[in-house]
Amino acid sequence: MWKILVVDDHPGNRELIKEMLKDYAYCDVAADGDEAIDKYNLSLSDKRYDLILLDIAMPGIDGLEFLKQLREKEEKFGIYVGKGTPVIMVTSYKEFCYDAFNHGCDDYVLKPMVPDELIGKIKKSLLGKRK
Amino acid sequence: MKKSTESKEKLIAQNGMELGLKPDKYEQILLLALEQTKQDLHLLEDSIQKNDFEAVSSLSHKIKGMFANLRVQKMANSAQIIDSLARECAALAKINEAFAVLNSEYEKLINTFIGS
Repeated sequence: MWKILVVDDHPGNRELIKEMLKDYAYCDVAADGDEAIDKYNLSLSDKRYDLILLDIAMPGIDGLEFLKQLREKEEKFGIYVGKGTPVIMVTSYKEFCYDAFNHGCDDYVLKPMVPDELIGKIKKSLLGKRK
Repeated sequence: MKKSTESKEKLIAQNGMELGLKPDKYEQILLLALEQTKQDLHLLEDSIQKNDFEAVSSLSHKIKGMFANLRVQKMANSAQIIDSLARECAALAKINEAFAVLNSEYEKLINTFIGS
């Protein structure tokens, strides 16, 4: 089982993703970027997340800002582009696609989510990383 | 009443299957979404009255995303219309009209899933 952090401000979306992935992953959840940073930091002293599913529009620290901070932190630890925790954006905003890749996301899933597409992209990110 | 129960069961079964969820799990998530939407609709109404287009767009976008994910298309479409109007900074009367439609769709879902 993979360990995945699901970051989304809607409790319904968090539950939906958890349920879609229940055969593949243990999902931890965060309601915004601030909580996601706390959970990510906590995971560093325990089992790290295999992957992060990240919404963009959230109160407080939004998805793009969280991603930027995550990649900066990884860089400080000597983890460079393409070697950090895989992040897949899960959003209904098409217009942030370029910014998200520019900030270091690994993939982009548009809502409404299609289970096979989401699971396929997670597998691609995680299995590709192990090569 | 029987018709309402049938449409509820049909919606749960069809949408649940499309998402690979068991009917009881789908219903549980839909109820969670409806509960959150109750708060979001209050915030949306406030934001409309304050002419806060950014908040109106953000809240309606959030509602649209959730119900599109759950394949509840009428709710998603109604919220999408408000999002588009807010992005255009449309007249308050138009946004209020669209909000009334969204509210009405929400009430229909509440009546179907929770009862009036």
